[in-house]
Amino acid sequence: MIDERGQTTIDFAIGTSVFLVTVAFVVAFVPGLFQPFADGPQQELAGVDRVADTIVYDLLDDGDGGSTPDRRCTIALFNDTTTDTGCNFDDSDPLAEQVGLSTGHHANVTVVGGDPDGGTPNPACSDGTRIEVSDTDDCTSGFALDAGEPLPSGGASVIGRRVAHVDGTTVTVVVRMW
Amino acid sequence: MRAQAHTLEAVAASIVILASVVFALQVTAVTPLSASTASQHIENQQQASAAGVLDAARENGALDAAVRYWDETNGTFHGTAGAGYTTDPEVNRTALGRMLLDTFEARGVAFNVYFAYPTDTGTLVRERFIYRGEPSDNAATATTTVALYDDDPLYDANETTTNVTVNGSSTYDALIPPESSTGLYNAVRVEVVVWRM
Repeated sequence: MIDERGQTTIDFAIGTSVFLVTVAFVVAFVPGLFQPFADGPQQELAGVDRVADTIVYDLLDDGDGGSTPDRRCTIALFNDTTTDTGCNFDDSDPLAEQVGLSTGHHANVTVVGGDPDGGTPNPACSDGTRIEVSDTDDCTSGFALDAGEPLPSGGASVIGRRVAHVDGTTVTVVVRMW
Repeated sequence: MRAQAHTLEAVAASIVILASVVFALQVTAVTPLSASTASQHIENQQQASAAGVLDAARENGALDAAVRYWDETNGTFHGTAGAGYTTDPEVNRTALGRMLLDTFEARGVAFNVYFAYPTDTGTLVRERFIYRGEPSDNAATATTTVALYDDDPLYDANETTTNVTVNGSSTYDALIPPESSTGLYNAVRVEVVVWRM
């Protein structure tokens, strides 16, 4: 009879550990499946659309409701001075306030043009009266059309794009939020 | 024997748990192209970009030039045998094509452009202007409408106006037929379909 019983305790230990290892694996593995969808800036996904529309169609609007921003207002939004220009925003406010973001949300706007060679887009620059797309990767004269807080070096951000026609040039307005 | 039975039971239970995880993975096919808030966001952005290009094209006249970029003699768009432009050099012929390439090509986004007009029976006929392939399921569309008047001139291959008007042309009705006799020739709906390649 003793021979037939075998190694009772060790068998039981093996069985239990096989089961426990499987359960532990599943518990550790399943949350990883959903992590790409649970993480990330979900609020900003919805917000960046609104901010991009606000900038192109409201703040910089030239009155016709299309994506054809007013040249003067575009320069006023992105230059460093705070003189009031009669546009649809208060030039002395930071960008986050101009687009109505609450504390804890950060935004950055850059205006770029297409690169005819198909490379990375070149920045749009202004000398204070005209707007044109630079031929190089930075502005040789004048200032680049960007506003808002500088991008953090790490962490996820969300990008929204609008194509607009300002001062005879077709540009892409890139909005980043984080 | 009871201990060995427990071992087998444990293995069987593990298999059941693993099988249910595998089943759950198989019934929910999550691929990079699955619909999610992220891909919806991308479609929104592409749609908004395409609408912006159409607005810009209307503003700088590229839209008019594209709709009336017509080779009166051959009865086709300039430099094509028909059925629209496909290659990069062909698309680059028109200002609208150049704007779309500048905006979308570097980002790996493909686009088609159609001209659509309503017929007497109310159906919409679509003509291909730029055709870069079959759109994917995740394509986004932006449209705008252009009014064509009888005395609007056609454009030559260099996108300058000619003396031939849309109503005076003998071949333009192959692209868009006249809809009324009141001075308004027809209303053309310009559709831009964009999708990620």
